[in-house]
Amino acid sequence: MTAVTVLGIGNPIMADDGTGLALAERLSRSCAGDPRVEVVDGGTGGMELVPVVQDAERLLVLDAVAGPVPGTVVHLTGDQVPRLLATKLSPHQVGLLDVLAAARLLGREPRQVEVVGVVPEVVDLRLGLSDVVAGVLDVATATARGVVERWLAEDDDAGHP
Amino acid sequence: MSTRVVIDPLTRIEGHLRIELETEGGAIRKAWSETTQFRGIETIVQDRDPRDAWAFVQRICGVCTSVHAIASVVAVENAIGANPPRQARLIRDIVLASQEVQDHVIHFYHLHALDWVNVPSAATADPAKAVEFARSIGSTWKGNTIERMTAVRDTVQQILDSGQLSIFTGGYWDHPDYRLPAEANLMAVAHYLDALEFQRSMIRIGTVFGGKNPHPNFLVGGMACTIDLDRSESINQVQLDQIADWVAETRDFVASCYLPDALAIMGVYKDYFDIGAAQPNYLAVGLAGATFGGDPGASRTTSAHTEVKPGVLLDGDLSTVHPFDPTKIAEYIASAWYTYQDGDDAGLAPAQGETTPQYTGPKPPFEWLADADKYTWCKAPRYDGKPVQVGPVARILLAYAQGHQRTCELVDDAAGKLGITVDQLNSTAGRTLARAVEAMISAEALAEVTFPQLVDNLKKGDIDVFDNSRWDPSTWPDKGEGFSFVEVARGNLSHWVTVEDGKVARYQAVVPTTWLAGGRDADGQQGPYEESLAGAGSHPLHDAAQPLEPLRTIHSFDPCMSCAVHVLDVEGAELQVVTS
Repeated sequence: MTAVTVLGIGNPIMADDGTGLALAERLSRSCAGDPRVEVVDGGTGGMELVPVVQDAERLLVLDAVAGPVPGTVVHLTGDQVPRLLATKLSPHQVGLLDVLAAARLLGREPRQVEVVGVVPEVVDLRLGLSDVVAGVLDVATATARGVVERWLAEDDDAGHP
Repeated sequence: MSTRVVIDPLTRIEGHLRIELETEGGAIRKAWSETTQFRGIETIVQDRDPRDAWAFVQRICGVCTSVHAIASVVAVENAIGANPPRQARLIRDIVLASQEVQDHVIHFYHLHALDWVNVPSAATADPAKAVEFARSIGSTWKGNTIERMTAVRDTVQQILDSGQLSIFTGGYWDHPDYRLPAEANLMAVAHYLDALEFQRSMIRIGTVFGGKNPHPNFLVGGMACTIDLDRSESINQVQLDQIADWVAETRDFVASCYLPDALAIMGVYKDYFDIGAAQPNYLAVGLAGATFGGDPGASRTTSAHTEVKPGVLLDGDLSTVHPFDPTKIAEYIASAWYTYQDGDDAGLAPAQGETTPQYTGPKPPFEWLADADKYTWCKAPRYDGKPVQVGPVARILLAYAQGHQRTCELVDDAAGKLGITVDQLNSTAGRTLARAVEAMISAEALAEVTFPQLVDNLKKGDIDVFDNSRWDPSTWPDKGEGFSFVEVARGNLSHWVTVEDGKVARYQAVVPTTWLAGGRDADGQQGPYEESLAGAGSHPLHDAAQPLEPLRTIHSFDPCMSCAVHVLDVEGAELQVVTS
């Protein structure tokens, strides 16, 4: 069973909207070969992501996150996630709140959900991230990596393989 | 005294469609369909390797990625002269069919049903009577049990008690025109949740063949998956057995749940078969899944329903199927924020299309756009100068007009039960019904034609899914023009590509929502959305603050504004109502 599901959200042809996918790609490389971690490119999918969310034991969402200062690395845990989701977490309206709410309604949802993201500077039709966002990818990736390692360590402590 | 009403955003999943209305005495007199964001996908694949174009253009949309990928791959194959093997084409058919049925199910239950189904009312229902109701409408779905209905009723009650409506937030639950009895509402909410679970099966079909989902893998010249029945690392017998189960489940869900529900719900809102008619012109190249590389009048790639030919129906005349001529398609910009070299009243064929934005509208935030001639980012495609409808209703009427047996059976049966005539499918309720009928036909074809054919061919040893003879750019013509027509869930999708010196020189996509959501043309003819709301001048709108009736009509087209345009709205604008 996959212990940690990493879900990258965003559109790579929309500049910083692709932040979540860029982070997912980096995390995917650093977790390569670890069968306990699954990295999913969620794109801007809607309800078709429900199975991914439902099947996740622990879900780390990587995404562009709305905020006042571009380039800010954001890490949401616990109660912060639903509260901020309610005020539109994601600039591309993927309906992540809908997806999480649907998973809850169906009676099967991740035990834990955390979000790591970056506040975008440019969301416009073009390839590649802005310099501001590209400049903090290392920090954001390390934050995300930290979440994954913490979760895996919790599993180890609990005696799971 | 007329009242001005703005509905923005309109869709539940993406917020890029805006409708401006003038109403008088509870009815809509004038309507403008506006897409408020610019789509520039054409520019992003410029100068790229055409073999990669699908990977970019599938990101046009978050919901129907695979259909754009297939349309792109087929257009490029047409331009460079590649011919994918039979098995690859069948796999694409299967992926398209599973995607289409999933899309119809999601549309009906999750994007449209709540226009008709009152969720809070379900909490007051008697579960036993809900089961009875389901039986009475012919629903044989396995989820119609008292235990299940009780559990769903309790879930709805918990949501109401919590004060948070969860995914049901934003409905006009106090609107007086919700007419279903509580038991029907409970049944529909239960099926809403079942459909959410069930879509997993359909998604998985595409996952197996495309390697992953979302964003399965495609390939110019074939498919990227390898098939070997005896090897674990390719598509093998185990996976084919799984797919067979999912295909059977798909048919079962549509037959025992979706189609009966659609019939029953539309039966309660029967007056909506007389509301929401758009221009009675219809264009389709076949039933859902029909795919052509190049002129549909000349070529036939593959489809589960080769007996339904491409065609056009004009002026409501269902007795004459006109041959489809792609050269009669032109896009107009009289109401759109673009400029053409030959003047803004000209119409350009997609292959010669120009995408030169010239925004002349007000700076946001704005209150009203429709006083200016130009009010939208959506071009207005016309066929032989006429606005046309695309989508399930166009395909079903075309198949019906050609006497396609299964279509005629299902349509005649539905019309008999509801007491309507076939031409009433051009309506809000009719489009919704046509979608359910089409899902049935597609699910059956998947189970009885395409998937068994693939398996039969495999049994005979045909595992060839890739033709590499045109992979190398040195085999391509110096200049090649190609195009594709694919019938996808929302309607006719075409991609147009010019390949020069091994690169993409020009790219255009004409998507279903552009056909439907476009504005007025140079002759002042309204687009189908506009006509459906304002054409007869009698479309109801009783309360401007709760515009449920126009939502029903626009949702019946299955709008996908992420497809027509894709840039986003950081703040997620609230619904506006402007009165004057």
